[in-house]
Amino acid sequence: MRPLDQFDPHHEDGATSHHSDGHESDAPLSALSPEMSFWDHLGATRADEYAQDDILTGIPLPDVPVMPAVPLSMVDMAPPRSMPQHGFTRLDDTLRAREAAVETGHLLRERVPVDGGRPDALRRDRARHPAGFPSAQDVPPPEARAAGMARKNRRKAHLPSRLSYRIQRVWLTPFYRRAIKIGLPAAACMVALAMTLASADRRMAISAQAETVYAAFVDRPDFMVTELRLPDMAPELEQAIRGVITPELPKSSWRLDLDDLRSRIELLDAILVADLRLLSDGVLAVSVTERVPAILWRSADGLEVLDIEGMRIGFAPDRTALPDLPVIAGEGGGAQVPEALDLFDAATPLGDRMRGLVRVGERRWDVVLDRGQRVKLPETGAVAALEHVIALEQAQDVLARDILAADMRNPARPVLQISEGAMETIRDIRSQNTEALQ
Amino acid sequence: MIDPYSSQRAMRQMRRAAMQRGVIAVLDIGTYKVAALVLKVDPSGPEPKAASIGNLGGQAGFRVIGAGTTRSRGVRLGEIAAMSETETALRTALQAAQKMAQTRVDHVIVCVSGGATRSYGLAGEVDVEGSTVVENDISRVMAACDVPDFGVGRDVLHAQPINFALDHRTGLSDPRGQIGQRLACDMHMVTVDTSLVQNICNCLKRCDVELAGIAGSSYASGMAALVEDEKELGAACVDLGAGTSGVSIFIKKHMIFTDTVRLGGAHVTLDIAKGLQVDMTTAERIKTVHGGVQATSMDDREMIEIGGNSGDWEKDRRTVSRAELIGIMRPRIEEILEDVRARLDAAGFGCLPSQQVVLTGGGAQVPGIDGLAARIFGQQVRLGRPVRVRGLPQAASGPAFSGSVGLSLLATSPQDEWWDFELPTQSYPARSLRRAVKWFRDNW
Repeated sequence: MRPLDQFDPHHEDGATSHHSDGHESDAPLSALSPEMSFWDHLGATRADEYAQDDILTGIPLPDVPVMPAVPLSMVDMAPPRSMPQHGFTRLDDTLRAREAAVETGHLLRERVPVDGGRPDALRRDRARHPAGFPSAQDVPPPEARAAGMARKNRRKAHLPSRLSYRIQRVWLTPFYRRAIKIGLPAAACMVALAMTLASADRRMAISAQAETVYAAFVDRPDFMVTELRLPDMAPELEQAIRGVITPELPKSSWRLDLDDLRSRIELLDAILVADLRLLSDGVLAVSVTERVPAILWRSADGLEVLDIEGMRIGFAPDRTALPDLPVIAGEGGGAQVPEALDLFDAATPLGDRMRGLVRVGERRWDVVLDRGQRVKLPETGAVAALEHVIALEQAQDVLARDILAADMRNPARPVLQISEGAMETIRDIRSQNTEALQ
Repeated sequence: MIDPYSSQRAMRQMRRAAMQRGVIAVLDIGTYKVAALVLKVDPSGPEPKAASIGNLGGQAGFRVIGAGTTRSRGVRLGEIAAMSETETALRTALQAAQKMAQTRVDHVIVCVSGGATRSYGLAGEVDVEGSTVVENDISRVMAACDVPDFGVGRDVLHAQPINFALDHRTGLSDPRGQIGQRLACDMHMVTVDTSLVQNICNCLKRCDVELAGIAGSSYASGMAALVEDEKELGAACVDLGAGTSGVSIFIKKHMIFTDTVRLGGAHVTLDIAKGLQVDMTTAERIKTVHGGVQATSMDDREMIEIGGNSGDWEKDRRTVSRAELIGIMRPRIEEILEDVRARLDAAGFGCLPSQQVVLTGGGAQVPGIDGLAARIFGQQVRLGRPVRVRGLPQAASGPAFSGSVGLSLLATSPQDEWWDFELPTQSYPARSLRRAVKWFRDNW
């Protein structure tokens, strides 16, 4: 036995409210005993089914019976209006509703044959009130009618059609469920996107729109770079840097490609490293490290000034513009500046007799001294060969003598080329010696 | 050898597939209600003992995750009378259960209450081939059982080995591995109308689910309503349904007899409807709310509003005393119980060591029926409710749901049936070879 406090109130309502006096305490004791109620276990479902077995909700339209005229005395026996509205009390409500309708003249008092011979009054009444009820303000329990309709709908919902059953099964299948909940929206989005982007005009319009929005933000005056700040430097160089940067300005710092500008500045001959910074108030500060002139190269284009790595810095108008720098000449000389500088270092003992270096055949150096003397150096080991010659000079003053060239191209067999006059002198001395002997 | 139970084997295969998927539904197609339960099978084993719940036996390996109940339609006396109506009812119950479970169910085990189930006792005996009994011997002894002629249009619903005897020892539940020469077997076979099974198959097919098993409802409710010692020592379960009342006798954990009385609560309702001149719905309500079988002097004074919706005010305002109602109900319930008693007597229930009778089913909720049943069956009568099952809603735990709960137990831990064993292997080629070798040895 279940205790009475667990008694299902739903069941209690549905089961006992058919008592016309409406007081549930008057229900027999057996009605309150939970053990006996078979449908108790079926819960609300069954209670609803019971409650809807009601002549008002169940009757189809053409068969609505016209109630016999109800004597007024019976109306007094009807339950009060405030009682709970359940299925089994509905008959009393109906009677009262009919009575009210009769009083207000909405409904005919006498029985009417159903087969077509209905008076117009009833038909009008039907047309206005499908269930055969008088108008709403005359019917006391509107909420009961609403509940009846809801129950009707629920009853329909209770019996699933085969289609709804199958749809529910499909919906409960994980694959389909995921496909419908995730796949379908994603596919729809993709299709919409693809259809939008299919036309080139729309793509352009979209990108233009995006550009407008971007520009509205980026091209604000706060972001504009307007001023170029340069350190002190040679006017030609400054001119060149300004020539690179000024066309870009004024421009938003978002659009300014500093890396590109830096590489373009570093393309200038005289600049080794450039450093660009954006300062506040729209200032672009450029600091540069210039290349240091190390050597002059008389090439086909003119007298070029090269730095220590052989990179061209500029052109010199003539030798006297940069008197301190050594000079090299010959085709391909500019590419061998480090070796040339080594040779100049090695030739320091020669002092101001040194005139310069000449690249011969783009493969070896000649050291040119004054008086037209030359030291012909080999392709490899040029510095060692020059030091050899300098050692000879220091020991025997070789280069002070009347020679044209010291040929060191083959280091194993140095050759001194002496001048024509010296040859004759030697021949004279030799002939004098032979005459003296004779 | 042709397998006579290939369809049963196919259903076992379905059940195995459902176990692998982990979700299976049980469906109790009754005369008054169709109940569907969706079970989630978790092989993780029993969960730790809760404070209020005792030991869980076979009901621990699964959990009820969905339940749906609806009014049965198109079913009369447990048999399908209107196929499309029944299909609608099944669909409704299944849909509600699926919705609650939030899972789709593809395999369904049903129980049938109608179909004029008949039970037969079978016996078979074979020589053991080797020295010890192996599985094939059991298959052979079951195949050797002399199947009675149960007539055309009948199908085997259950065929359970209930006892094995090896030489002079009987009462073995599992003789495998034991040494002996002569193996005998007792089987209990239940047959049912083929048409009913086929109708149910068709209904389920139209509901897009597969039939994964079928069981008699009296068997299922016995599994749920009897406790372990009753099943062991001998008890009868009387499932008082709406259209039919099932009887099943259990001993040694096996059902040894089942029968159906084609009378039930619906007949009581019909009597009330006839006697009080009301429609069936009102009669059913009066029966469930005010019904009883034992009249007292108080009941003469307790007046029952009959109600009704005939539209005739006088008719709908009639009252009867509860004693009158009991006077209508009691003879019919007595008749049902007497009928059940007759079936039990015919089955030799009186010879069992324990003669416990358990009343379950929706009809067992009539107040005082245990007293009435005690007059008919003897003193050992109790009202049975189904065992506790994890996840079962409170609304579906009453005696009316014994069949559903028992079916859930059978779905997850079924008892051995004929078709759970392999077919006996045809060892003819091996034997003939052996005979040839023997002949060779004897003659050379």
